[in-house]
Amino acid sequence: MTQEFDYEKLGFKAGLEIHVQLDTKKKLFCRCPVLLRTDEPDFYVKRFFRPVMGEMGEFDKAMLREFEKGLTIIYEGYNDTTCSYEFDETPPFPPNKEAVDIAIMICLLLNCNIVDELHVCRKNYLDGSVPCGFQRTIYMGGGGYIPIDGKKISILHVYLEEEAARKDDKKSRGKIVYYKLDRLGIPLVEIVTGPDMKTPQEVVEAARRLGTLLKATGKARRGLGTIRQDINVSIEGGARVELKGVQLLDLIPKAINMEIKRQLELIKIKKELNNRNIKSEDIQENFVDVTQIFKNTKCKFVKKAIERGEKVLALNLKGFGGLLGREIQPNRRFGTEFADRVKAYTTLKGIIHSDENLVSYGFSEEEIKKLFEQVGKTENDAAVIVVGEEKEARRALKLVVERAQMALKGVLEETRQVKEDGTSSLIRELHGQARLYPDTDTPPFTISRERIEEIRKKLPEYPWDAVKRIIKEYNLTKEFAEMLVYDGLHRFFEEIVKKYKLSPVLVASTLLQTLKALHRDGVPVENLTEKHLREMFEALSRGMFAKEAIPTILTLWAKNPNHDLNYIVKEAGVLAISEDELKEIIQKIIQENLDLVKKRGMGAFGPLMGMVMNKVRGKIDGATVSRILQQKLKEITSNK
Amino acid sequence: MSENAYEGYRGKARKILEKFNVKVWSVVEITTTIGVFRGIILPRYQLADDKHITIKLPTGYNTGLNVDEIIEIKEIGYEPGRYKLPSPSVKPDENKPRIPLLGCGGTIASRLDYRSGAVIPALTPEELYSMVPELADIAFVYPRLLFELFSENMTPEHWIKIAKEVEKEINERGAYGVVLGHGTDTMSFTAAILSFMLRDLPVPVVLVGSQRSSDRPSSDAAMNLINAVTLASKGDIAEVTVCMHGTTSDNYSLIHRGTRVRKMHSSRRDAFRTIGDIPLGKVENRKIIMFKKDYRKRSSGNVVADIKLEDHVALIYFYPGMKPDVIHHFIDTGYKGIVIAGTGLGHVSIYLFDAIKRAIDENIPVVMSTQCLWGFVGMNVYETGRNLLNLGVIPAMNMLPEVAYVKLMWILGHTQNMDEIRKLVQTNIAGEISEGEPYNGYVVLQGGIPEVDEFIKQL
Repeated sequence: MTQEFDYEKLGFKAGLEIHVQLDTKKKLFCRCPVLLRTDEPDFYVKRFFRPVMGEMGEFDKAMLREFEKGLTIIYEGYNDTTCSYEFDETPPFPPNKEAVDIAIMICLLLNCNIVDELHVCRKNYLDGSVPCGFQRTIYMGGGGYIPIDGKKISILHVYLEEEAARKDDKKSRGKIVYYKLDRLGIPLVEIVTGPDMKTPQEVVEAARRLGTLLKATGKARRGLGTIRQDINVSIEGGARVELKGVQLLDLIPKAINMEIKRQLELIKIKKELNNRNIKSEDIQENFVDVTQIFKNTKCKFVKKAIERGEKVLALNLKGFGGLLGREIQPNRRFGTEFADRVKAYTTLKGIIHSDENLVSYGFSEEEIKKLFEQVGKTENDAAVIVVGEEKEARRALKLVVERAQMALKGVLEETRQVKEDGTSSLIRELHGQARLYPDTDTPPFTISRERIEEIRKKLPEYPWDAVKRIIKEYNLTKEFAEMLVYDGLHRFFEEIVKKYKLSPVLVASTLLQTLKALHRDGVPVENLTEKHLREMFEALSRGMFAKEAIPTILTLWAKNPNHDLNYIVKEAGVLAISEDELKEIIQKIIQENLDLVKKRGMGAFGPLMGMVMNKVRGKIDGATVSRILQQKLKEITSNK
Repeated sequence: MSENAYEGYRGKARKILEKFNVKVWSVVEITTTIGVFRGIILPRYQLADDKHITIKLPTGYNTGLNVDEIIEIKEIGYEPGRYKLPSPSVKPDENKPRIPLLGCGGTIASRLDYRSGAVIPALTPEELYSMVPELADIAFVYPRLLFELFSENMTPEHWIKIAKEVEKEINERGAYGVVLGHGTDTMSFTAAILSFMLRDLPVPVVLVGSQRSSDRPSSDAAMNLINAVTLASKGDIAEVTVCMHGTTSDNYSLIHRGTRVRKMHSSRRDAFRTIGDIPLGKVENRKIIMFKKDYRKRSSGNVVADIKLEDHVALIYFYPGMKPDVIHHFIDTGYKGIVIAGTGLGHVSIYLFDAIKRAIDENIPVVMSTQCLWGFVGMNVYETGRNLLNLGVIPAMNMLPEVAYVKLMWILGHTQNMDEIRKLVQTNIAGEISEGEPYNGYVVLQGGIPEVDEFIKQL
């Protein structure tokens, strides 16, 4: 799969944009806690957004498109964790110093230069994802690199910005879009690499390295969606396309190859249209109202729409015959590109075109014939129809015309959403720089060179160096060492091992395997903080309980994170017992099973061990139990 | 080279621009000790330091480069700011009600200089109809800029100018209603003084502004403007009113009487509140719903702008520990009237009594309002109040302190006779004094809470 194309010959280039949420206590421009919530919100705020007129008396095209959708935005907030900054009723507070320091640290790790005076800028978004209508974002620096297999991948820019609100898909419907304000304002660092990667494998490597580096700082938030990567892809003769939503590294080569295929197909279509001698002026907004033709159609959704008073509008695309049906990605045809556009910018579900099997829609031969007649479709043309309220349907056909015009030019600069199978669909055209302007609410602020040097002194070691060192120092397997470092757990691991003189393997397996296993079993381990774990390891080192009790204690504590350890240990019934107490228990069990012992002698060890362990598991370690039980059995059998 | 070529740059920063012969709007390549930057040199904030050069990078981001780290600046172009008028997609219909939109400052209609972030007033018809094309459906709105200033810089002279212009629009140009675009900070002062000045008003005069300027996608300006124009063209209330967001959501605007309204929040959209009563009504989805019945109805005939006023009046906010020299100062510097925002039912400390007595002896009326804002002054309840009354202090009933202030200015423009002044202060002229306070006057306007929103919906 990865060697599907000759990438060099194609002039393939790719770059990455990595977004990482920072693990700060508070948000970037207000002092609200970072807390994602699932309970019902306390309040809702309704808003509409409008495009802003620029100095040239014009509106940004992307903003106009968003506005034409006519969305109603509803924000969901909580009385105790949402402040009025977050629903755009209070100016921003000064940027969170902790976040700025982490951003500086990331710049330094990426060998970037940091500018002396930071300016907060606004980047317009009209989709409601930011209640102000703009995201506040800061250029931190650039001109850096990270080394990968002897090659340097350049880091062009590093930004510090506020995370957008998260869409509430459960509540959103049609033109009413709900956003939860809890994610808004989490500090986010965006890292932009140069277009230096020449194969999909290099993209995977770069993404892996950057992701690892960020996680290993211990300052990145953990969990789903906390690190996101967008891939910028282009080939010679194609265009720069931004692929979003590629969360899994394994999907990267697939998504890239699918995009290359799409661009190659679009270039072919462009050539084909040139061969057919189709010019821009051949593609006109000649819309025909064909509602009458389909008044009694057997196609149910069209009939219902007409009954609701909607219109069926049609258009003839001269010279496009056969092209709309051409496959450009698996299960995606050139016609899908048109439908995507309609879906992205209107509330219609898509289009119907003549390269599809129209009969299977339920249209009769008669209806199809009339349709073709009325729009003037010849064999070389393609007819497109849309169904919807007249105004919306007109907008949809305008978008179809626009897309057809662009087909003459080939590939468009777009942002696309990647699906699990690697294919992608249009989100929007690439934003221009016109949407950026200074934030007049926040004055520029200086980053002193002393502050940078302070941070440089405390810079964490690179993860790839840390792995090597940990293997050597703690005699761990490579797998364990990598997991510790890549999850950003190695600092905590080292602290515990050194402070409490515990076995490195025990600490690592608790952090890496036990917690994961409990999580799989549905234990809410996310309630356990480093403080909980530190306390538990400390008590273990004092012999408060045996290491076998760890899963029981963690389970109980995760469910009751506000209780203290003494309570949990008592509740779990794993408080350590002395050897004398153990001897008593063993004595008692032997007495109860005297027959067995008499019959099997030392052979009774197995079953008895099981019985004793059932009583003392976690209270004293198994080796001690085994030793004493053997001793006792020997005494009895030799006394016989 | 003009001063503007170095806008905001001084000291070291300016020297380096001069040294390399570049200026604001130069497209440059700057070599520094931390790398090479391309971009456009932007104007700098007036109060910013002199240690940095602000540039706009090719990505659109702004950043500040340390002057000490700059090695060389090369000019490779020059792109000064350019401004163009838009061509709106709608045409106003001259047969619709004629509504002048008089610009008195504020950001109700403004656009953005994307490069510098500057907000540019945009009150030409082209700009207005491009930004809010919905207005063409409602009325024939014709914008006119009276002046452009921050509303805290408003003076009584500006109020007089507005009153005269409103008079002209109504009497000479057949305005069916008037909308005033105004900065929100002192909007309630202007609304109050116009309520006194515009006698025999035959049509609505609506003040409107925005709490989020119209250069922001989330601005409240468009909805406020649409609702204000709706009120001016379809409303039958011939009074001076303020029409602004009723809640933080883009739901409806509330209609506030000009003498009972106050800005009660520094930044929220629903900052404006009617105090001591419920609002007059609301505007929602182009419809006007009145909550109250006792308002002045539309009529034919002319308005009279009665613009005489005395601008030497002081508004004093009493606080514990206030020294009497505060009041002596106003007497000594020739002030003609004093309004006090006193505590509770209308009190000040006993230490001020002598100074107050001196003022009244020198024929300077002293009017007492309450800094509680809600409720009447009640100066017979406690000894302090009775003593103040005895000194000749005039209780302001339930007039808001700011309203009492502009009313006293206006009264003093007409008479210096203490008895007449006393009578006029205590006579309701423009809804500034109510006969009593309704139960829900206090409850309703705490605002924003779901029960309240529900309640207003039901009104």
